[in-house]
Amino acid sequence: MLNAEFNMKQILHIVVFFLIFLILEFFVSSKQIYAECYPGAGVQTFPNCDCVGSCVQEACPANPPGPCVGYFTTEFNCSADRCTGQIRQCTSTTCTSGGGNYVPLSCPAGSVLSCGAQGEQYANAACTTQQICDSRYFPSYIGANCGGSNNDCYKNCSCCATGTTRSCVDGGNYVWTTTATRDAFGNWSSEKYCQNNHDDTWISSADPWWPLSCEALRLNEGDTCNFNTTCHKSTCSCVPGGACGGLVPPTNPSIGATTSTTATLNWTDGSGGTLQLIRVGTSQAQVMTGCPGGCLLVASIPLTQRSIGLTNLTPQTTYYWRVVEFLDANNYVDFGNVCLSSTTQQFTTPMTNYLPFVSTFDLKNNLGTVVSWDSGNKNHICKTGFNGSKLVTFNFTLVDLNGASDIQTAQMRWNGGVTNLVLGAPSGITREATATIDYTGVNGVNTLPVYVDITDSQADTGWYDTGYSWKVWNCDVPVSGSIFDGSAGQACNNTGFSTPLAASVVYHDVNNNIDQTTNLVWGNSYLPLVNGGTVGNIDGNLQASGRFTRLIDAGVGTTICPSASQFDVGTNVSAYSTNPSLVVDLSYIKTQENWFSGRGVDIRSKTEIASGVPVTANSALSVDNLAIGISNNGFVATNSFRNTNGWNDSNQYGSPHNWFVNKAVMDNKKYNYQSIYNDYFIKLGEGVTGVTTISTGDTGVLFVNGDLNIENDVVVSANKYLMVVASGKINIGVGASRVDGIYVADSGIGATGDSDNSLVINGVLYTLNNIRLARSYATKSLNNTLPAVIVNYRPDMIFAMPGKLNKVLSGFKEL
Amino acid sequence: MKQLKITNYELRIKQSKGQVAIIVLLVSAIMLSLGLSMSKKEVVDVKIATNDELLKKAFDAAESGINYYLGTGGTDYASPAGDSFAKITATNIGVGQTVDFGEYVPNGSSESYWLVDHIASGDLGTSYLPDASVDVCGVGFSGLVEVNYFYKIGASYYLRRNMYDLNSSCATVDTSLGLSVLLSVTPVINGGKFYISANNGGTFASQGVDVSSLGQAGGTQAGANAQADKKLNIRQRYKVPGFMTSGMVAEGSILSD
Repeated sequence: MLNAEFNMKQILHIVVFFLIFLILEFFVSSKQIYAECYPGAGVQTFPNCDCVGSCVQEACPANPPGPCVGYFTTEFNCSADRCTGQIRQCTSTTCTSGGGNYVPLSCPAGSVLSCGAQGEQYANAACTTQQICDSRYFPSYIGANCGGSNNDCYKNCSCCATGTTRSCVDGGNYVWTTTATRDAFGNWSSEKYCQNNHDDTWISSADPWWPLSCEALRLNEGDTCNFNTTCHKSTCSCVPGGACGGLVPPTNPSIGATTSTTATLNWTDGSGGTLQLIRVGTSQAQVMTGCPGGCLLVASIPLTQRSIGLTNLTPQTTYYWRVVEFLDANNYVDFGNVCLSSTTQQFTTPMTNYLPFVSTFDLKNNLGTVVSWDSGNKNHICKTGFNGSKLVTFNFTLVDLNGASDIQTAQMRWNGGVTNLVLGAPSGITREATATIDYTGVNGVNTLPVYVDITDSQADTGWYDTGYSWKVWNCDVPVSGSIFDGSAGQACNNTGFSTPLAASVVYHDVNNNIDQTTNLVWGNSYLPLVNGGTVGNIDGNLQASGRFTRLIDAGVGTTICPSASQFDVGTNVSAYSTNPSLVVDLSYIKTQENWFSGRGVDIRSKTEIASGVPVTANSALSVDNLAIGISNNGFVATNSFRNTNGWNDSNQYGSPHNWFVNKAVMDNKKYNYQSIYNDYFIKLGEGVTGVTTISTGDTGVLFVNGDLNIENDVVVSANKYLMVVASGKINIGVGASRVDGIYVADSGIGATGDSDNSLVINGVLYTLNNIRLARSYATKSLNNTLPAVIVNYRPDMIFAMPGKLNKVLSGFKEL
Repeated sequence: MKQLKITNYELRIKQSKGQVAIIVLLVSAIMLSLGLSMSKKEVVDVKIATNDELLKKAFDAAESGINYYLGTGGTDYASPAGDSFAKITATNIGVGQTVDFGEYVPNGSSESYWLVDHIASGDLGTSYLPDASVDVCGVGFSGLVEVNYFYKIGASYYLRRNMYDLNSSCATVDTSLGLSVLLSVTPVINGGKFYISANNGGTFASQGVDVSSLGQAGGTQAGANAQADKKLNIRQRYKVPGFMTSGMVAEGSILSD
């Protein structure tokens, strides 16, 4: 019961208060206030409540502080001993326009209040009543005279200098994020609107009062909604002559094509002016304020021009620009004159566009292995690296310094055929591009360049030469050649290749064990086989030796003389000539006849010397022999000289000194068996007579009365001596390969016969007749380089002889 | 006295010719004396014959003295009959800083200049010329000469052959390669006279000896009361045959075919 009584009492109080509220509301809405003269009886307290005929009035301030700030006061009238009050706005001496309780706010002396025109009120289409300019109580109070549905909404007023009016230009969008919470009555705890943060900045909301987006969600109590509000910021200023004076500024500024150094600016030209300027700069402030500090471009352009191209811009730089139209071309100030100008635009040039290019280019064989390029960045299908396959992969590494992802497409072109390259994933600035081509059946003769065309996001390289060339051919190399007699000398390129030598040749393919005669295969190795030769006997039955090979790359014209008989066509024939072909010439030295050589000896003949030193031996008749203690060769002297092997080189006499005297240089004193016998044996008792054979170990002076045939080696130890004196002839047979001693023979000394063992005579030879050293190698070709007989001078032998043999008497005279 | 340039063989022939001459003289003397009435001329003819005989004995003694020296080295010789004698003197050749035999060397022939001494047997000694070089000079000679320098290192002998074109001057031969043994000089185109000089103050060893033999006859002992004498000179040198320093010499041809 108590609760019921309490509730009923509360309800009664609420009803009473509600009735009082309705009564007061009635009086306020009628702008009439009827007050009882007792304190605390209502919301109003009136002085002089016992008035008789008059009431004390509240005064308005003389001049309200600040521009256009509204103040209110109450006007009292005495009626039925009661003072009834009516609220009214205070009027100001500087804000006299309007009437009734509509009181425009005042502006400082010399200025007038100028409010935004309807066009200024961007998107505020919902405003249907006139608003008082009051930035502090925005949204402004709507006065009683603002009623009606077609009144303009005046907002964002400025105190402009007399003669000027406020004008604003939309400057772009701003987005606010506002949080709102719905209460139990479905109302939102916060309102959404865009705030004005500057007198010259008018901000409007597409939906300033109601969060429609959240409303649509039908959220419950306590729910929170985040929503965005898009506002517009305008730049406002006081301009002379009122709002633009009929001038329509340029509009719709936009950026056309832009590169790292160029840009195209577009706009819709204005109207009503006499001058159109464009300003471009890197400082937004400069561009917006008429470039007082200078801009990149300030140019007068025809009034109807709607586009301009900029060049020489700096990559990766932000530029600002605006187009301004003026009424008076000779007298204009555009600073802040928003009705003259397009909005300020900006753009940023991209970084410099670098054309992509080919960084590396590899050819891969059918197994994916890279086949290296030849000199000059050339390659061809017959190289062994391609494994004989015709499947070739072209692998390019492309580079774009703007980043590999900038590369869009790539193609290659060779021999007129275009192939799309498959691009790999970009990696940094590089990107692989490949294509695999099957060249089966292709046989060309030319080495052709490989072209590539790459496009990136901004440009196309066009077809450009990679610097690499590629040839696809059948690998056949026609071969020809001749065989020559080079006995008179062999040297590259022509010596020894003039006198034909009758012989036949085939070219043995070492890799495939096939003999070829007219056509070789590039890359294979061949061994020329002559006169039925085999791999083990390449010259067959040809009676010659010293094969000297000359290879002429006929396609190029180069000549080489390889040291080996076997040659690789791939090494010696350029595949890149139009017609690869090979000339194989062989030069031989016909078998030389026997010859002898003296080492450290004088070779002196009264009649003739017939030397056989061949051109093939690179030697001379008398040479030095430091190995046996003979430095320098001896001299050669005779009345007549000839070479039995036909070599007529003038340097064949001696080496290192080519000492030759074309004259018999003979001792006046002659030695023979009898004289030596008398001097040594008879007078001095030296020597052994009756000797018929000699052999190793024999020493001293041996007298042979007749001929002596030596068929075995005769070795005399160092510092021993052997002197053999024969009245007949001394013959050294092929059984002897070394004969030491001093040999004197009246009827000549000879060494003949054929043997593969050379004969070395260590000592001295002297005869009243001929010395004939005609021994030859049984294998004739050995004569080409080696003497069959060698005569070494041996100085120890003459000093090992008894000194008495050297005692000579002379100058006998009678006094 | 008449100088003779003869060999022993020639000497013997001349001796025979002397005997014939004596006989002819005797016959002539007899015939003359018979023709001139024989009496007063006989004593004179006998005296002439006696003097010639003494001269012959003196010549023989001188020659034998040389042989005696060459064979034994002795310097006093007496004939087995005791009626003739020889006094021999021997003088070394070439000892000094220059060796000049004063002999003409035909082209193709060789002259031997020893740079080491010889012992009595004729074998090589051990005293080597220390000079690092030796000049080989021609006496008014121009032309090519082959100079073969033999030297020794340890027990081994070596040879360096050189060819010089002397133009009335000298060629310096490097003799520093080892122990110098022999210089063999052979004029190639023309003959000439040559000598050698040591360049560093060294002294050449003896190149041989000049032997002088004075034969006497008619006295009782050598040099005493001699009634006739003859003096013979001869030179003994150490000389290597030219073909031995050359190596390969044929008076005919040297052929390889």
